[in-house]
Parts: sequence; structure tokens; C-alpha cells
Amino acid sequence: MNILVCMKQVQDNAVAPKLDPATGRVVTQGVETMVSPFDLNALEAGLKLAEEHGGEVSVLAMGDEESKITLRIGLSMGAEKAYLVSDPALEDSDPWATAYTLAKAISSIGTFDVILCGKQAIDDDAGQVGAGIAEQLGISQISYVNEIREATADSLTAKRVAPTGEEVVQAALPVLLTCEKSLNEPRYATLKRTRMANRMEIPVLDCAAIGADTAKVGKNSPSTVQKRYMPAPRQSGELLRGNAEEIGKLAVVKLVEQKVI
Amino acid sequence: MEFKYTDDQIALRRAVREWAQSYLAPKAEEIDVNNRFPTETIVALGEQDLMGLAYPEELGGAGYDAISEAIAMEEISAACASTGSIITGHYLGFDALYLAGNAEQKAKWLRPALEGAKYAAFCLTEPAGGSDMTSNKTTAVEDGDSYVINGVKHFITGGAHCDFLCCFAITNKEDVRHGMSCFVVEKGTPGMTIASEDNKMGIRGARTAEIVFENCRVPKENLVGQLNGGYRLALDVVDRGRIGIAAMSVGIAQSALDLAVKYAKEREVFKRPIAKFQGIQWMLADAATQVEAARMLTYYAASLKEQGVPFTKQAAMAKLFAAEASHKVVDTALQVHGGYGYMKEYAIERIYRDQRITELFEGTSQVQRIVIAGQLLH
Amino acid sequence: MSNQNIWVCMECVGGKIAGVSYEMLGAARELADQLSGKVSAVLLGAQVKEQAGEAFAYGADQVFVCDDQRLKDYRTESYCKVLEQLVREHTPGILFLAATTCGRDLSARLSSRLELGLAADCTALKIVEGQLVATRPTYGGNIMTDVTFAPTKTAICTIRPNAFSKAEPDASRTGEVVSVSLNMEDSELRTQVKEVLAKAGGEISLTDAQIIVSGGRGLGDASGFDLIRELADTLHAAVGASRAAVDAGWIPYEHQVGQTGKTVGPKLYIACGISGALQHLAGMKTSDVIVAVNKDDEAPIFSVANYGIVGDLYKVLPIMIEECKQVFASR
Repeated sequence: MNILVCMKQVQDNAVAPKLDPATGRVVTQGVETMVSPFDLNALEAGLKLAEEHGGEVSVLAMGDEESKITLRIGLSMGAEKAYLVSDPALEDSDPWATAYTLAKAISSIGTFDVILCGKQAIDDDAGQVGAGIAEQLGISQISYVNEIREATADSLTAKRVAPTGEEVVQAALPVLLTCEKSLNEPRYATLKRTRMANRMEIPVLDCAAIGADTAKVGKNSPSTVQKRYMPAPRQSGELLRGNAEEIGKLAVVKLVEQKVI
Repeated sequence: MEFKYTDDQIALRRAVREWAQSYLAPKAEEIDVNNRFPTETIVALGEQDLMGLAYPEELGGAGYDAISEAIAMEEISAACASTGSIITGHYLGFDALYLAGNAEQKAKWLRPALEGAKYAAFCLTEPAGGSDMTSNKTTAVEDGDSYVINGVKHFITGGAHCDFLCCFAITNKEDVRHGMSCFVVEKGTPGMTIASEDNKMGIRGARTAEIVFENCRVPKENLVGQLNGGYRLALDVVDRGRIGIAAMSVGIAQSALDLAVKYAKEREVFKRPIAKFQGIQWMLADAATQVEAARMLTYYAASLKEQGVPFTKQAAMAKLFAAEASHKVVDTALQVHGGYGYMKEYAIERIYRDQRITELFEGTSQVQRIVIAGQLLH
Repeated sequence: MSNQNIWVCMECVGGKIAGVSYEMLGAARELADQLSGKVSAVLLGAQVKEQAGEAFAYGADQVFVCDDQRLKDYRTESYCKVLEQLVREHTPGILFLAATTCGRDLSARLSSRLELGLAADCTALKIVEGQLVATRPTYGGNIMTDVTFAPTKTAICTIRPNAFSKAEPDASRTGEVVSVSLNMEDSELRTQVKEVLAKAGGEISLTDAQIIVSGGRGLGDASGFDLIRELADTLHAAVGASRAAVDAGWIPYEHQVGQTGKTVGPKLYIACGISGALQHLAGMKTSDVIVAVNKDDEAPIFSVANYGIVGDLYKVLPIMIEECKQVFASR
């Protein structure tokens, strides 16, 4: 089973992101990075599938050279190969263009039975890229997967989160899955592999190498971020202190006044 | 001279921090409260390749350098100081085998220890003799194909939980400095019993034990290094281990500083965070400087060890300075917390107790000064 | 956007129109009125024809219905096929779908197929110089982003539940119903829904809930959720949890609210024993009213709470439960 996992490097979510007033962009200088958490669930699922059914796992990221850190984490968790798509023309790509580019990259790398992505990246929170890749590659998708039930030589059955419950879906291979956090508990990178990963070559592919049309990506994407800004801060409200009986009753009175109960 | 982390060191810090913060940190409080040695952590340390981190890959280690080991120790101790002590005990426990063991011994005990299959303990300290090994009383007497060990060892980290220990015993009473030898004693060897486990102030998860040897017979092939060469061997092991304790101190201090900074930003008095007050700022600045200085001295000692040049003085200095720096830093951090810092609900309370050991074990701060003075004045 | 017409792809679950669909119609109506455009609803499913009236009542001028047994369960291929045909044929100016696990799945596939811009999980919409500007939260709600689209193409948005208000229904409104057929060979379907699993009996899902009661580390242990559930039952609320409570194994992950859990925006959010880590706030701070119960008056949760109750939740919650029961009994 040939497996590919898409990974995205994002900023550490333990610190609140800040905007650079000059550029209107999120400040990245001096901020630690992390792998978008759902991508680690995707990788774990890929590694388990490869352990159970044979085959190997490749990881793919799009971004600048820095994103090799994320790919090396993928390698240190158990992936065998890593690829980076990097091209200045890709800057400011929207989710459509990102999916288009990654699909082009995947086609140029090889053929895969299962492609896994996180359900969304925790910076853009768009959750579009997985389905977009599946469409570009013309393969089926199962999104928001929280359990992989069965994989055979030609199909995969998974449970996904539905709007009011869950559903079990079977798809013919090849298939693309987007993964929920509850799918699994990602393994930790081990230190022998971490050292090995630091010594592995990671091919860097530009738009020309993968046959991506630069007229469709980056600033030419179908949607554009016009402005970023901080949300209006919530006004902090009243603190109720004192005897439990009194403040408990008072709280309910307030909620009735506010017509929320 | 270049102050720059290698790619391996950067990746290692990230990987160890990730693991330590998500695996070790959540159980730090529980093992402290329950006074419990976390045997499951030994398995996990092995899975992470931490049981033989800075030892050669051909022996079963992970092949990192000495500075990497210090970084890992820092990150582990920042998450859980007990675990820092547990892993230090393991490194000390097998280091004699690494330094002086023969091929069979390395295959039988060192490799599984480095790979994480066996947990080792360092069995030197006795009720009458800690840093002064000449006061040790435990003896090993040759008898046919064996040595027979008699005596009492105490404060043995992981003693009740290890798979084997390296026990130092006197083989020539006339001249202990040239009459001590090192023996591997495996768990369950008849004549070795765990008399008790200690109830300590801090690092309570790193349980220490009193071990009694009563006609404990070990085969001759368990003698590590030269007969009567154990005194020097023990000193070498302890020398190398001091850098680990220095790194442990740095990790403890860093964790305390981080908590203090976080608390200072959150805690408001007179309608503003206490971090806005210069009195607090200066305390934090001093603490941060202590941490950084301790870290640099520790890495310097580790780099000398890595280069294979003498490092006894610098290791003692790093251990002395880092232990005392961490004392000041945890004290400051607790003070920044005000009365809350004195409460069990706040992690700083445990860290404050955990820190204290760093000035006591592997030679007290006073013993470090003796070592340093000895190096200066010899 | 290519013209003034706004389409709403109705979210139907089990043949029933979901609440977010009316919210989408409400938002579409408002924009269409500004643009002097038309609102069309798209109703896909099995035995959904009768529900066209609902779409009119809530603001649609026209309803496209594709009523086909093969659309009984949501499947990316079949739903995308119908919508693709409709969009190709009519090129609406704007298309809304629900930001649910189905709407997001479908919109992303459609956007990719037709090379159209898509703004996911929108919480505000406005028209500037005749063009749509969609506002969407990113970085877990810490950064807001305004998105614009190619001026001559359909703009697609998914709409976050509870972010827009629905219009007052007007049962007298009617309009044109256009029947559409699903032109698809069975062989084109490469996925199959094997089983549909409903939520555990009576449990209210977090994303639909108007009221959420959440518990965190401050509960002390798993049994604390008994009290949380009791308050939730009293208020007909869903049960949420902080990551700390989920990581401790006190409650399953599906209850987790926050950046790596669910993002919610109910009318009322009651946080009990939750300190308010950044990741948790990211998932709930757009709630209309937030109540926090915490012993520690320094807890960051109080900075977003409308009402911060400083006290022991084990003492305060039972009082609140009793009071709520009395309030409801007197109604």
C-alpha cells in the first residue's frame, strides 16, 4: 500500500498570533513552529496502514525551506520519503491553488493508494485542501474520518463525522482521507530516527518540476485575502463573588434577564 | 569558538520537549504525591531512545553527543525532575560497563541497557561513606569461581526497580584507593535484598533504596574492569555524571522561571499584572541570567567531555554553579507566586522541593568545591 | 461574483432541513435585497420536495429541487454532480453552503472542480462596491480575514452555524420550484454509505446547541461530569469539555471544545472549572453570553466571561440547577 501524507508547518498555537501593522501579515519572526496537529493524526493513520498492509509512507509539504523541519518530523516518526514543494510564485496561494499545486506534486512523485491530510490546518482553518486534492486527482474522498474500519487491496472503509452523528463510508481505492484528532494518538518521534531524518535528502520541487501553471497559483488564486485584523476583544463582564447560594441564584437571575435561558 | 546548536541538537530538543511535556509532565504531580517509581516511564524512555542517548550506535546507543545529552536531561527535568534523576541513575548505573566492560559484558548488559531493555542502577553510596569512598565498608571476597559480597548500600536510585546494578565493593582493605572493584549484580541474585525505600522531600518518583548484601555470590565474570581498579572507575563515572546533574539543575531552573514568567503576566494586583512592576522584573531578570549562565557552563563541560579532554574541574564547576543557581531560581519563582506558591495546587511547590537534591547528590556543593580546589591547587 | 443572484444549498439531515439552512437564507436575503438580486435555494435529498415551502417562507424566491432516492445519504460524488450542473448552467453570483462536515466537504470539492474561490466558515458578509467580502476567522479565531473573489465568477462561502440570524418565516411567500434530475451512472459512485450512526440517545450535538455547559480540569475527576450533565439536561444544553478534561480521559474527544476540538458559538456557554487556555478560548469566544465558574479569580476565562462566578463549582452548580428548575417550572 503506497501512502502519502500531506503536512503543514504552522505557528505554535500556545502563543496568540500577532499582526505586523506594516504588512498586515501574521508575524512569524521569532515564533516557534509546530506541525498542524491534525496532520500528525493523518501521518499516524498512514504509518499504521503501512504497518498492517505493507508499503511505505511518503510525506509532502508546501512552503519555504523552513518546512523541511516538519518533513523531518514526519521522517522521524516513521515516514520513508519526504518532498517539499517550494516556489516563490506560490506565495499567497489560496486553498484552491494549494490543492491544485499539491495534486500536481503528488502526480509527479508517483501513484498512491491512500492519501491522508488533516481535516484542516490550524492557521487558515479552511479545511478545503484535502477535498481539493482529491478532486484534482479524480479520486474519491472521505473527510472528517475518526476511525479506519478496514482496508483491502481495492477499498477502504472509514467512519466519518456527519453533521448529526457519524456514518460509515466505503470507498474504492485510491482514496483521500481527511483526519480528525480522535482518529488516533500520534506516536512520538524517536531520537534515532530524528538523527537519521536530519541526514536524509529532501527533494525540493518547484512549479516547473511538477507542471503547475503559475498563472493559477499564488497571487492569481481564485480568492484573495484582502485584509487581516484582530477580532474586537470581548468586553470582560461582571465578577460575582461571595456566598455560593447567593451568587448561584444571582447568576440565574442575570441569565433570565439576558433572555438566554 | 562557535555558540551554535547543531541540526541534531535543535531537532533533539524539539522532540524531547514534545515527548516530555506530553508524557512526563502530566504525571509529575502524581508520582510525587504517591511516592511512586514510574516503571512504565522506563519502557517509554527506551522507546524514545533516551536510555542510551549519547552512546555509540554500534553499542546500541542513539549516537548523540554530550551536549545533546545535556539538552535532553534539561528537557526531561523541566517536565519531571524525578524522571531526570531516574535517567541519570541509569546512565551512572551502566557507565562503568561502557568505560571498562569487556565485550561479553557489553553484549550481556550494556547493549540492553542502552537499547532500553534493562534499567541499571549505580550502587556506590553507603551509610558511612558518600563522597568519601574510603569509608565504605562493603566487601567482596574471592571464593572459587565467585566473589561474595557483604555490606549495606543506601540512597540507591532505582535500586528496587533495576534489572542490574554496578556495585562497588572493597577487594583489598589495606588500600581502599587501590582496593575497590566493580561488580554487576543482577536483580534477584540470592543474598541481595531491598531493605527499604526512602521517603524523600523531593524527586519522590526517583525512589531510592537501601540494599543489603548478605553473602551475595556473583560469578567472577561479573567483575567490571581491573580487580582493585574500581576506585578510579567510580571517580570517572561520577565525573561524567556531574554534567547530567548540572543539566538537570538547568532544566529545573528553567521550568521554575517559565512558571514565574507566566504567573507574573497573569497575576494582577492594583489593576495591573505584577510583571509590570520593576521589583518583579528585576527578580525575573536575575533568575533568567542565572539559568543562562548555568546552561552555558554545563554545555561547556559537556563539550570538553565530547572532545575527550579533561573536564573534571569544569564538570564540578557546572554542577556546583547550576545546582546553586537553580536553588536561587526556584526560590525567586516561588516568591513571585506569593502565597499561592506555597500551595500544593501550584507546580512550583513541587519544583521547589525537587530542586534541593541537586545540591546534595553526586557530591554536595561543598564536595564540588573540594574537587575544584583540588584541581586549582594540585 | 458574476451577478446579483444568491444561492443557498440547503443542509438537510435525514430528509429534514437543518437550522443553519434558514440562517443561510436569512443572510442571503439581506445581501440580495442590497443587491436587488434573487435568492434561490437548492434542495437535494430523497423525499425533500415538500420542504420547498419552508425555503420560500424563510426568504427564497426560487427553489431548485433534486429529489432522488440516490441522494438519501450525503455522498460527495452525487451531491457535487447535481450542484456542478446547476452552477455551470446558471452561474449564480454567490453560493452558500453550511459549514458542517457535509457542506465543507461538498463546497471544497465543487470549488476545486469549477476553479472557484471559496471562503470557509464565514461569520460575516458584506457587499463593497458591488462585490462580496466574506469575513472568516482564522488561527482559531485569533485573526479575522476578509476574503474577496474573482469578479466574474461564482463566489462560494460556507456559513458557520449560529453566526447569522434567520428571518421571521412568512408562510404566505411562494415562488418557482424547478425540478432537477440527477444525471449519474451508478458506476460513477465510488463511495458507499454502509451505516448511519445517530448520536447516543437524546444527546444534543455541540455544533447545533443553543446552550453548552462545559467542564474542565477544575472538576477534579470524571465524576464531575455528572454535575455538568445535570445542569446541561436542565437547560436542554449540550455537554462540552476542555482539552485537559479530554486528555485526562474523563470524557470522549467528541465533547472537546477548542482549537483542536469543535468551534462553537452558542447563545450561552457555561464554562465550569475551565481556566481558559488560548486553545479553549479559540473554540468558544464567539458565544453570545459566556458564564464562567472558577475558584481562581485570576483564571483567563474570566477575561471573556460576561458573568464570572468566583467560587467552588461543586457548591455553585447545584444552586444554579435548582434555580433553573424553578424558573422553568414557573413558565
